[in-house]
Amino acid sequence: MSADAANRQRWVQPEWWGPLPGWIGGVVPFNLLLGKSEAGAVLAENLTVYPNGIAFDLHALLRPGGEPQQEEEVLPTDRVRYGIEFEDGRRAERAAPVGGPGDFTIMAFQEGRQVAPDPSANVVLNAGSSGSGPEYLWESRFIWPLPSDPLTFFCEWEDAGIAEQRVSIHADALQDALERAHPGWSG
Amino acid sequence: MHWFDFLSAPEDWLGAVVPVDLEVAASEDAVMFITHLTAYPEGFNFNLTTLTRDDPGVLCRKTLEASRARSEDREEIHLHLGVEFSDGRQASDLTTWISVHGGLMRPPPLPAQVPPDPHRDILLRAGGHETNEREFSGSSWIWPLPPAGLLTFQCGWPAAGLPVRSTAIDAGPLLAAAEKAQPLWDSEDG
Repeated sequence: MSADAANRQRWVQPEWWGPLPGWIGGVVPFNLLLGKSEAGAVLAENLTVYPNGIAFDLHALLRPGGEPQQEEEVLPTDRVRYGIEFEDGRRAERAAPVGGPGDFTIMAFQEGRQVAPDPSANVVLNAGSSGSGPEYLWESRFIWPLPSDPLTFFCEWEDAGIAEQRVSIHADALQDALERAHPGWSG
Repeated sequence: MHWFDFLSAPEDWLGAVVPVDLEVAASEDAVMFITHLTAYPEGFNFNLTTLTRDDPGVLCRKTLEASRARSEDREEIHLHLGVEFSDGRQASDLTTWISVHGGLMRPPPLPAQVPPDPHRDILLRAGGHETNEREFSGSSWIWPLPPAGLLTFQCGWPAAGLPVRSTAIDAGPLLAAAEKAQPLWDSEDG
């Protein structure tokens, strides 16, 4: 077996990990303002629906031109709290990206243990690429599985004076976007 | 307002999304789509996603080796990305999102004057990228908004068998969306 072939066989992406490989997701035709104060805002942008879940970019920023941030060991943007909640009560958030019962954790998977979440009971908010500074945070995230009911985002950011705020997406908007998702190749 | 506002989408605005799904290049080995047109008062973002049948790194290495063997123009190994407005203004960029060696990326072509003239100049700025399983994607910024008429994208990846191709859409929905973009804060806030 060639090295190329071996590399191709080495990784099979689990469905909770990220967008379905080889697919173009359906675009949700709006961005969401999850929370806002005079000092900062939290947005969910680039919402994209796949058969196996929803990708989005979380963007938190302190208001440009606001008070300069004091030097601290922990950046204000490290304290942004956000997550998602399904209608049945399942929830996952930035600091606890797996919700529901069972012993599945992303760390356990990365350590090579044979673990998998249960799509009927768990929810995963997996992290992709990210960037941050004292006044902004940007994170790419993937929600698994795709909910069949309304999806609620919540956020809280004490440094910006944002108490917990919640914003929901109607299930029809997710379903409409799902219908626009398609494989990259029609053949 | 700052003199450099033309360089990127305003961070203190909530952009309005136009849910386009535009196939701009396709072959048996790779396919490129433009999605997520996001409008702001002074310009727009879009995502360019490339899917590959093979591992992008493998495809990249093969194309580079083939290009070297044929002593081809080195620009042929890059993704090509261009935009043309209905008044004839054009901007283009070669991106090294998938390049397997550095040193070839050109800096983004800047307008002839700063601040630029929104009636004459155009800026295309290819942004960051993300690589997943057989996929790489990135967001690009166009300044200013296009005039009414056709907005044309020119995309391709010759080394991977994707000739550069022009694909046009009506700029109308983008211009309508720009009216719906929202500032996060009023200037009197705070």
